This record gives sequence, C-alpha cells and structure tokens, in this order.
Amino acid sequence: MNRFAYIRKRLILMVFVLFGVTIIIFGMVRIIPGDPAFLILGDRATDQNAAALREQLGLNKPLYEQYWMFVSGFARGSMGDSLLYRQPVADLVGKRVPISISLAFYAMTLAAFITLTFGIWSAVQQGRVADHLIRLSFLFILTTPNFWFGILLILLLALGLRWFPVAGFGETLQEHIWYLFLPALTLGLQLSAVLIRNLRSQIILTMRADYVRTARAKGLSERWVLSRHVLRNALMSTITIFGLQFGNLIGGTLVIETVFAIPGMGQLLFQSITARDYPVVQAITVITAFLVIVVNLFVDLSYSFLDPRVTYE
Amino acid sequence: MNLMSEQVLHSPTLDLRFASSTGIRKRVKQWRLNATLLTGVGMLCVVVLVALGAALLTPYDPIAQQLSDAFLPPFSPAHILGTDNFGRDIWSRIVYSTRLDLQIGFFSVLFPFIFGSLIGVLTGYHGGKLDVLVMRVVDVLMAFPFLVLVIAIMSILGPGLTNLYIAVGVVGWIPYARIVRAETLATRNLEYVQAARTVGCSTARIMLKHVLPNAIAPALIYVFTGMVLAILTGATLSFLGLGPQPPTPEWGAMIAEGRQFLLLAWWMTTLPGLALLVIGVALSLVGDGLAERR
Amino acid sequence: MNKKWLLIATLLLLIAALGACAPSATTAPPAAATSAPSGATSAPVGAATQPAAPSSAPAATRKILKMARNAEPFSPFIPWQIDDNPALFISVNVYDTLLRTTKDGVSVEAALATKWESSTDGLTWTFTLRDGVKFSDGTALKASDVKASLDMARGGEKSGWKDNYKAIKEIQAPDDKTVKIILSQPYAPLLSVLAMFSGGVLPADMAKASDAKDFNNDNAWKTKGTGAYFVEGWKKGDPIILKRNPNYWKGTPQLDEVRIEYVPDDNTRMLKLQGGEVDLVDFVPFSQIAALGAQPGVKAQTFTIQQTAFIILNTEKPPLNDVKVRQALNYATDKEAIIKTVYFGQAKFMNSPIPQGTYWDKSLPGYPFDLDKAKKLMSESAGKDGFKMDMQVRSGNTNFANTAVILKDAWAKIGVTVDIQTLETSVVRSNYRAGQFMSTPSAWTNDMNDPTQIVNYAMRGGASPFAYWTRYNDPAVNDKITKADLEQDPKKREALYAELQKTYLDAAPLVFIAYLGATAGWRDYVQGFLIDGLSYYRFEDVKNNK
Repeated sequence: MNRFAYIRKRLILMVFVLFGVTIIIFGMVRIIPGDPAFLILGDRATDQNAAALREQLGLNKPLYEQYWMFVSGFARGSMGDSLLYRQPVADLVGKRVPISISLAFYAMTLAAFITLTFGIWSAVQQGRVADHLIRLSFLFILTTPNFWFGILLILLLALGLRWFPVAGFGETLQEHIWYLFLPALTLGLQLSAVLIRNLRSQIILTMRADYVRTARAKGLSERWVLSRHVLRNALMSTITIFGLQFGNLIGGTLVIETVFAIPGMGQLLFQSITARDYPVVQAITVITAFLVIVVNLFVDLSYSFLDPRVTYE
Repeated sequence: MNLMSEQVLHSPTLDLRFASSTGIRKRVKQWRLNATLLTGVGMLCVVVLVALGAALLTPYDPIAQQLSDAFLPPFSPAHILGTDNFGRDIWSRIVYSTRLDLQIGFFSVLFPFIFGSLIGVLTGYHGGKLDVLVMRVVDVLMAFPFLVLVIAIMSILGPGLTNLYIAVGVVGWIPYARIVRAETLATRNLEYVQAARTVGCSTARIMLKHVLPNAIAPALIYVFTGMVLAILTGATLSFLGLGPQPPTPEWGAMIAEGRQFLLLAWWMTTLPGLALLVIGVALSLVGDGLAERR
Repeated sequence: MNKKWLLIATLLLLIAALGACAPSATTAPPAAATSAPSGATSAPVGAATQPAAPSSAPAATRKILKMARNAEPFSPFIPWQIDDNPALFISVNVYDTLLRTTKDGVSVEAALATKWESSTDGLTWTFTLRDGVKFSDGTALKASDVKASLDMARGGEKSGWKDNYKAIKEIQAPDDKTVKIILSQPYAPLLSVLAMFSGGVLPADMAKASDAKDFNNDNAWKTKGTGAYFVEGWKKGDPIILKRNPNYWKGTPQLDEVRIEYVPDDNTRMLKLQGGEVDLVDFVPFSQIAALGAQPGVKAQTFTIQQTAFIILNTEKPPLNDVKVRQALNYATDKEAIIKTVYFGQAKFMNSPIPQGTYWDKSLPGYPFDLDKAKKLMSESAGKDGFKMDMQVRSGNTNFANTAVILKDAWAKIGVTVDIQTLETSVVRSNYRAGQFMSTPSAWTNDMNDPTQIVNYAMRGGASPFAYWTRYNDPAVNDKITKADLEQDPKKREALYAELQKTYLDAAPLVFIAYLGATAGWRDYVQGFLIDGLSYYRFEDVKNNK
C-alpha cells in the first residue's frame, strides 16, 4: 500500500474514532452526578431557581435530542453555547486552542533539544560519572511534582535572576515566547525525563547490534556510526512515546497553566468539568482527540523516513 | 497486520531477537554480574523493610496532631524532618506512607500489566478483525483527556484507593498492550513458534508458553517507570479528592497538601518528593538492570 | 553529530536571547503602558459627551493599576444576572444603585438617590435622584432607567435575585427625577435591599434588552453605567480593563485604568506582587499575610467582612436529630485552634449564627471549647455509644479540608468517628440538596447589611433551602422571621432578631466556628484600597503614586 492510500485509510478510520469519542464523552458527562444549575447559582440557589435555570439552558430536553444537537452542530462547525458563560463555545475555545497547542509544541521543542543532548551524552558516557549524574538529575525531575518545579523555576529565574516574568501570557508574539518559556521548560524537562531513559537504553542496545559492530569494523568513525546507524534506529521508539505524550501535553497542562496563569485549554477543561459545562467539555474533548490522532498519524509516517524498511500495509 | 510501524513501538525488538538467539548461557552469566540490578533490588529490599517495620522506626503516630508544634523545620530537636501545619511528625508520616505507596505503585500497575499483556498477545497473535477493533478502542481511549476520565470515574464511584486503581487502570493497560502486541508480531513467525504449531500445540498454549514469555520482557521494563508515574499521578489527583482521604499519610497527598504552604514550609512538599525519588532510583535501577541483562 | 551541536547552540542562543530581552521588558511592559487601545480615558471632567480620541497627555502620566485576581467572572455584567463574586466586584465599580451600603457594612447612605421618604403606612416610598448624573457614554440618568432596571431585577426572566424584591408591588417614574416604589405590605429591609448590587442601574433600553432569550452576552460585557469605571468589552481569558468614567458623579477617579488579570494559583499571585508585576492582589492565603506584609515595599491586610465559617449538620439523620449531640459537637470544637491553625489568627470566634452586621447580638456566648461539657452532653444523648459520620469536603478548598482534619481529631475524643470524603463541589451540592450527607463545611457572606437575607436562608425551614440544608424546621422560628420582615420599628426588630439568634444558637443545626476576614496585598505606592463590610472593593478612591 502506498503512503497516500495509507493516509486515506487512516483518515477514514479517524472519522469512526471521532464518532466513538463523541458517544463516550456525551454519555460520560451526563452520567457524572452533579448539576450545572447548582454550580452556576451557588449555595444560595433554591430549587425553584435551579429548575428555572435548567429550563433556560435546555437541560430538560430528551437526551437523544441533546446528542443530536451536539453532533449535528459540530458537523456544521457550531459547538453550541457554554452553559456557564452563556456564550458560544467557539469563542471560548477558539482562543485557547492555539495557546495550548503552542505551549505543547514549545515544550516538545525544548524537550527534543534536551532529550537529544542529554540522552546521547548519557549513552556515550555509559557507566561514567556524567551518565550517573544525568540519570539522577532527570530521575529527580521525574519524581518532582510539576507545580513544585514550576515555582522553583519562578523563584530562581524570575524573582532571583529576573530573566523571565513570574507568570502571565503577554500580548505580542515576542512577549508570548518570552512569557511561555518557563512553563514550556517545566513541561519540557518533565517530558525529557521520560524520554531520556528510553533514548539512552535504545542507543545502548542498538550499539550492541551486529550491524553496528560491522560498521565499526569497517573503520567508520564513532561519530559517523552514532549519527548514521545508531541514532536513526534508537529514535524510533522514542518518537512513538513523544507522539503519545502529545495528548497529555495538550489536555493535561492544567497544573502548569494554573501555576503560570496561562489562559489555555487545560484550565478551561478543568473549570468546565467541575462546572458540568457539557458543551465545552464535549468540544474540547473532540478537538483534543482530533489533534492527538493527527499527531500520531504524523508519528507513524515519520517511521518510514527514519527506517526505509518500514512499509505501510 | 495493519501497520508495520506498530512493531517499532517501544521495541528493541530486533535486538531482543538477536540476544535471545545468541543463547541462554550468556544471559545467565550477565545476570550474575549485573551490579545495577543488584543495587536496585537491594534498595527495594531496604524500602520494603522500612515499610514492614514502620512502627519500630517512627517516634510518633503519623496522624497525631500537636497544633502548638506546627511548621517546625527539618532538624528540629524532636522532629528530625520537621512537622507539617498540624504539627504532625513528617518523618513518621513518610515512613508510614511507604507501605501504602508501594501498594499503590504495585496495584495500579499490576492489573493494567496483566490485562494489557494478555490483550497484546491476543491481538498480536490473531491479528484480523479483533486486532483492528481493539486498536480502534485504544485510539479512542488515547485520544481522551485523562482528566475527564478520572473525574468521571471519581464522581460516579466516589473517592477511595480502589477507584484510584480503576482510574489509572482504564488507560494504564494501553502501553503494555501496545508493547506486547508489537513483540508478538515479531515473535509469532519465528522458527520455534512454527515448530510448536507443527507439533500440534493448542493456540492458547503457544501464546502463553511460547510467545508471551519472550514478548513480555520490554513490557516488564516499562513497569518500573509506570510505578513511579502512578504514585506521582496520585499526587496530581489527590487535590481532586481521588485516592486516600485525609488524614491518611501518603506521599502524593502530602505533596498536594504541602502546596498551599510552599512558600512558608518548603519541606512539606520536598521531603515526600525525595522519598519518591528513592523509590524511583531503586525501581529504575531494577528496570535498567533488566534491560542490560538482555 | 554536527547537527546536534547546532541544535544545542540554537537552544543556548534562544535562552540567551530570551534572557536578554527580559530586563527591558520588566521595566516597560510594552502594550500596557504605551499603546493601550482607544484613548477614551483622559477627557477633561464634565467636558463633551464624546470621549476624546488619543490621550493628549504623555504616556508616563497615565495612571494604571494592575491587579491579579484569584478567579474570573462567568456571569454577564448585568447586576441582577450575576451569580459569582468576580462579576459582582466588577459590577459595583461600573453600576450604581439607588442607595449604597456604608463602608463598615452596617447601614445605608445616598448614592443615585439623594433623598427618600415613606408614606405614613410605610407602603409608598419616594426617591429623588441626584442632579447631573450621567452614564459613561454621557447620556443623562433618568428615573425611567431606574424603573426599568429594578423591574428587571424583581421580575426579569433571567434575574437570580427576585426573592429579595417580593414585597414590591409596583415601581413608578412620575418624572425624570422621581422614583416611587409601592409595596404590597410593609417591608423593613427595603432600603438595604435597594442598596444591594443586584439593583444596579442600566440605561432602560439595555436593561430590557438583556432579558431577551437571544441576548448576546458580549453586549453585557460592554458596560454603560453611572459608576466610576466602565468596561469596553471583555473576552474570557483576557484581562478585564476598567476605564475611568469621565462623567462620574463623585468626581473623576484618580486612576485612568484598572487592569485585572486572572492568576488562579495562590503562590504565583503572591510572587507576582513581590516581583512588582502587579500592584495589587486579592485572596492572600491566610498563611502568607504575615510573610507578605514583611516584604519591603509590600503591604498586606485582613479586612473585617460579614462572613462566617461553619459546619452544616443534617438534623434529620440520627443521631444528629438529637439536639444534645449537635451541642456536644459544638462544645468539642476548639475554635481558637482552628482560627490559629487554619486561618492563622486572621479570624474571630463566632458567637452568634449571623455575621457581625446589623442587629448582630454581640452578647451571645457561642459555644466556647469545653470538652467535659461535650462529653457530658454526649453521654446523655442518642449518640452515647459513639457513631460514625461522613464529612463531605469540597475538593480544592484547603481551608475546609484543614478544618475537617482538625475536627476528625477533636471529635474522636467524644466518640464520633468522622469519615472525610473529598468530593467535587457540584457533587457536594447535589448531595446536601438531596439530604444525602451528615455534615459538610461551608461559609456565608452577607450581600446586604440587613440580617433578613441570612436569617431567611439559614433559619427558615420547611421549603428549599431548608434552613441552609440542615432540615432544621421550627414553626415558631418561621413565624418570627416573617414578623421581623414586617416590623417597622427598629428597636422591636432588633429584639426579634436577638431572639432568633438565641433560639438558633441553642438548637445548633450548625457547628459555629469563626468570623472570617477578606485579605489583600498591595505595593506601598497604592493608596486608598479598602475591602468594605460586604467584601466589595471600589476603585473610585484608589490612587497609584508610583
């Protein structure tokens, strides 16, 4: 099967997967106990207030009708109105999607630099002091809660050295890059902590493979062997994990977005779930799912660039 | 088989095959000499001993409050690691948590590991419609924000440890399934499996006796990272009320409780984090040791 | 390998570049200082109705106050549709009411109305409007605007505060300066109700339009009020920008602009103040008041507000249906310990069921900590053999969680085993509404200076909200509450409320804990910031002397 046919097949499958996502998320948010009306009205609301609000929000309609509105609306590109904010979901989500995606890519870029640098270094120095130090440091990062790590970075780099702002998002592109650096670094370091372990052991394993031995025996330089023969192979599974982490980065940046006061999707998702703001939860879930699927498709496609033996069947 | 690339997932697959074909004797030799593994196992033993002997090692009841002694810093005369906002001894709380945290790490990985491995070998060996179906379920689950799943499960089932295992387990089996599936794809056409088939072994027997033992090694290595991540996930989730309820000592909960006092009493979050680091080092040494063994 | 070094070099360059641009940007937060959109702000006082185009004053003289808040509004800025505090705090800065609660929170003073009098039967109230009041767009305030707004507050489809206006039969605007309010029965708290934020005045057309089913909330975030500031528009996720109302009736405010950012994490908010990125923060954690106030150039304070913290008991669940058990729980609670450990001394012993506002009876004893008395009461009660009780704590509220941990320890001493259950707020609310709980920590803040609101909410049984969901129901108390609402003589009302407080305290449907304060921190060049008795803050008198 050639690459285009493969992509077409995956895209068709994607429609089914997204359909599955809509059914599960719709069912799930409605099984969860807790009533949006109570959250909106607060402690003082009487039952009469709550009933009136439910009517206003259209929560009294039968479920199949609500589901149909959700799916047909989505197909038309309209995501309904937020229950909590009483304004179009598209307005709420539209600004946050790019922010979260940029933060995720920013973090992944930093993670890629860090992982390559320290992963290779650690593998090459296997068993020596540098290797142990790198592994211990990243284990430390892995076992450190990210809010703690974020505050630590703020104290050191923002309040101490005054290189970066404490928190916020800024207004111009330049400011965005500058403001988002610390949160991206926090996420990036933690992502690298997972990836470095993998990359290091992959490199070490690959270096033992017969073909590497052959390459060395041919008298190729160590550097050439490492970059041409070892790294390409070792990177494959690391990239897979990288792709799988994308979903976590997009939807799961809640803590980091809270610590650094970034108006992203993680924060909105958390607020919306706790407020039982069904349309917003549904919209974010479907958007995230779509992004995750697309990114993983790219990851799968990248294998054939790294390893020509990989074919798509 | 729908995608060759799935074989590549998490797999030193090719190398594993080379390693196993070079013979078992060599493996035994490496096993004996593996210092990394030994250190890791040694550390784990110490941790387990600490967990078992918690009562002997701690001068205080981990939940006893002494409000007048709140926020004592580490190395205070009566409290070696200081106290928290309720004046509870942090050393005692950390030591008492060990048993619970080992349990959390173990159970939140055990069931996903077993379930994921079985699914992996089944889909990898059989392929076909089952494989396509399961992989689409995986796609759906992977695409789901973890937070939504967790809050849904928590709200429906209520708080508690079992529900933490369920929440982590719902998506936790996926990596194991994918790893084992990839390994199985690589193993199922090897000579010895074909031989077993020719001899007339039942499919179940081939899968469990011949394929699985070979396919499971890389999944086992992932287990150790998984255990550290599970405890940390507990820390993230305990602010949502999932997991052990206060005042139960548990590292994740302690880290989360300390957050409100981060600028006032850094030790409340840092010290349980360091305890987690010790377990993390031990488990990763075991994991790396196992990897080197191959 | 060369590629790798290239990557590292790029990364280092990136960090260096980011680091290098840092200092300049710290001193001059670009867009905020210089290129703020549309200079509608520095028009001379009382000048043209048209806001002047770009501000003629040099950028340096523009006074901007930057604030970091812990929460973002979700209600539209339509006073009677507001359900959350962050929106409410905006509302009091942009919309005025006929009367205003005084800063100490115990009485009312003139606002849009300068004069008011009632007929002898107490059924007709006549209000005279202040001269020369203008909306932020320059149009003059008319009595018809007041009528339209109040009609929406008391009868609008989307109003969440109708119950407070039940006594009003009709509102008339006989001329542009006079508003007549006609009651169906005498109603003592009327003036306090008219000082509530929910009666904020909008231009009549906007007030009416806001109730339409298809009203776009984007329009609500473009405010047009008579308050000291106005909002040109807002989108969730953006900072809220309050602009000076050049036509403000109390005189032009000192600040050109107040910029309110949303910074949910408590630690980060404090660090932003310390780093000088903002001038003012609210919700300083009680644990950090002392440390923050000790920082150079920073002030931090707790203000007295009408707020209470307590535990709701479900009086229908045995053995909590036995008043002795409830009293025992009250006596077994060491309030001073909670005030010290949870609120870091920034709270006061709660001696009465109602906050420290009008008609609060300061002579009541509350339940001082007395373990022996608690044990004695327990031994005489239905719970003498000990019992197990759930305490449902809202996740994310650390003060409630910490209180629960202390109570679990304390109540074990009288044989009560508390089972702490951390649940999401929405789940806790659904549970207590359905009566599926035994206890849950909660808090209350007065929205008006008169006790009628809290008393009706927390003491009246028989119907939703079932005496603060405790299911406490005493017909004699219910009658007395109604009587107090009708009574015109302040002395007699005070006596009635004193009796109610006493009865409710003795019945102990709640575990009474503490009167709380509201906290804030600011840079020392900020002057005149104050949180009033109802926990509002107005920026009309705030100065930035930076």
